[in-house]
Amino acid sequence: MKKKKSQSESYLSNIWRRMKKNRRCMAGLIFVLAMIGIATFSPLLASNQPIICKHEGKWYFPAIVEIFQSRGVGPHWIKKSQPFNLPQFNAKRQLDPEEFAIWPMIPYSEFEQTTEYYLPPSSQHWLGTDELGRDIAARMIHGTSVAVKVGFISMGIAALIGIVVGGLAGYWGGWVDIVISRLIEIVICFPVFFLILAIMVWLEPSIINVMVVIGLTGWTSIARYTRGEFIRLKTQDFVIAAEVVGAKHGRIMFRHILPNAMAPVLVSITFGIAGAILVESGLSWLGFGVQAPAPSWGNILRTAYDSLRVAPHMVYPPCIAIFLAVLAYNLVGDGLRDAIDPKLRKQG
Amino acid sequence: MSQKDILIVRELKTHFPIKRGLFRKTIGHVKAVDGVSFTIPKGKTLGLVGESGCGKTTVGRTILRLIPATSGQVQFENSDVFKLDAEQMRQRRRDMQLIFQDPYGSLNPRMTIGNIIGEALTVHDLAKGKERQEKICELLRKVGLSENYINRYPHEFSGGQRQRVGIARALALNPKLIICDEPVSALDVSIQSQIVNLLQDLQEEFGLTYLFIAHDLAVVEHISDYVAVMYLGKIVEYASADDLYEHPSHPYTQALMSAIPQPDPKRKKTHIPLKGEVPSPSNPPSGCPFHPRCPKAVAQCKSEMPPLESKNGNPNHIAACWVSE
Repeated sequence: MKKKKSQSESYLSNIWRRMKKNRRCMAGLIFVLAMIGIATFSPLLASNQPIICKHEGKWYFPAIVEIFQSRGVGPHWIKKSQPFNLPQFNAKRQLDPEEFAIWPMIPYSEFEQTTEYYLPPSSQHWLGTDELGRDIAARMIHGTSVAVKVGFISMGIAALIGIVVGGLAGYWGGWVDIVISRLIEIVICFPVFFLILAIMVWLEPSIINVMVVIGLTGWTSIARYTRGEFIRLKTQDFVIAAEVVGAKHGRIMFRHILPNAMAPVLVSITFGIAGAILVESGLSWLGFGVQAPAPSWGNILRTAYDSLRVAPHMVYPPCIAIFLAVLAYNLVGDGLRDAIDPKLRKQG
Repeated sequence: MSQKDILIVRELKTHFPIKRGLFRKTIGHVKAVDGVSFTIPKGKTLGLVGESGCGKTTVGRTILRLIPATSGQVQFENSDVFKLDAEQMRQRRRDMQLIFQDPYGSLNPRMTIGNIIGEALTVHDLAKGKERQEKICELLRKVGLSENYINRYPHEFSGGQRQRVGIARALALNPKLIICDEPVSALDVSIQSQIVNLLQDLQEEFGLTYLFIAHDLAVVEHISDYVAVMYLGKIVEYASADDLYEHPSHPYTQALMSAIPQPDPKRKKTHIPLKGEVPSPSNPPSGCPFHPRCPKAVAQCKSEMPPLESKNGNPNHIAACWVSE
């Protein structure tokens, strides 16, 4: 039985075993997974719609429908189904005893404005309210998806460019390598944040543009890692064996070299995600990223900063969230690096 | 050149440039292979022996064009290997395969044994699906491994088993020539004999031709029909295996022979110790490259390179030495 198990993906399970021993790494990983969970199910955690309710003898699942509708995914019937609409949270009490509802933990949506401005944290508004009377906890929860999306999509773009460019440089060597290496050095020299600022002036400020621009400038370290790994691996016997057997270049690059080069590249991607979250927060703070009223940790921090004198409590949630998210990704990256190769620890 | 020779290597030279400085100026060459010629008759084994760094491996890889040759000619069957374009070479390599020294580095750690062996079938579009599966199982049986190993990963195997996988991969394309690059030197002595016997059985079964590169003379004696001794990028002696082991002619060969451990304690040992190190192939000595270490060197050895000529009155036993008869 034991033998059977080791048949599949033994290398990855080996890394996973070593990662599990690293407590800081696991703490980071749990935080990252929690972020992804919060981002995915945000309407279940904070919404002015009940999760399940019975109204006039019919059952509704408005918050669940909202998960799909707000993201534009899911089967057709769910997209066109009308969510059950309640005007206000306190409408709950006006329901007759026949009616029934389960409400999200935070019964406010991220856009819902009340007349209670700058409230400090209380049992009703866990993190207080902002200058428009919106619940900060609800905005923080809905802002999580921005942080998650920015991290994964921008680094997805960066990884795609970095792996292709770095792989070509490492595999072909010679003048291809010289040209690409100089290109990487030039891009590294760009002060990325200010370059993005300059580009965002020309583009419409939106989260998609932020992600694309971060991706287009953030591929250099991934390319360097990939290049190094390709150079190391292309002289290995198993790569030469593939050539002798008659494998073509594309096959050698993608079937033989790339799977063996992925581990250190993955580390670099993880650190890149942390950086991307920071850049997005910075851009949103400056007003070039996610546009109000849509929440992101960066623009929540901005409004908090503008009201610092009136409501100092507003500043803590976004600061702590950004800090913890970046820390968590860095811990995961660190742990991953140690798990892959303890020798790498001293670099980077 | 007889029709029976499957591989003919003429005056093969592989020099690596040494580049230094800001502009990567070539300041010299490492003459890894410097004018090597030999032929291998079909179905026979040529053993290529020599110390580490004498260019044995480079010869093997240059023949397969994994390393570009500086000059010379390699004729395999009826084609001039160095004149083929990339696609023709890819097709030509179906008949010329390579077995590696390091059983750990030569198998992709992320591929299953089945995919490693079956890759050749896939890239040349020879078999698909069930047919491919059956072919892989057959190859596994041929090299003495269980079919159940097909979905295992290389790290689950011992060195000897991995080497068998490497042999199965080389056999997948039904090659005519296999270049064995020190296939047993990384293995235990007990495993070595198993692998050598396997190679011999396969040779008999498929009529394979081997270029057997090794530094272990005992192994080479066992498997080879002919033996070429290399020193510093040159062949210094070439003869049939029996001849060479009975009447080594070149002083270098004699020194190597004297270093073979004798299992019989009663047999008298006359060990010929070699002084000094192998000279650098980037700056080889004048004349005979062996003269600084040769116990029999005379003045002529320093100035002139001796030609390969027949020794012991045997036209098929040639050596490059001024002194020996």
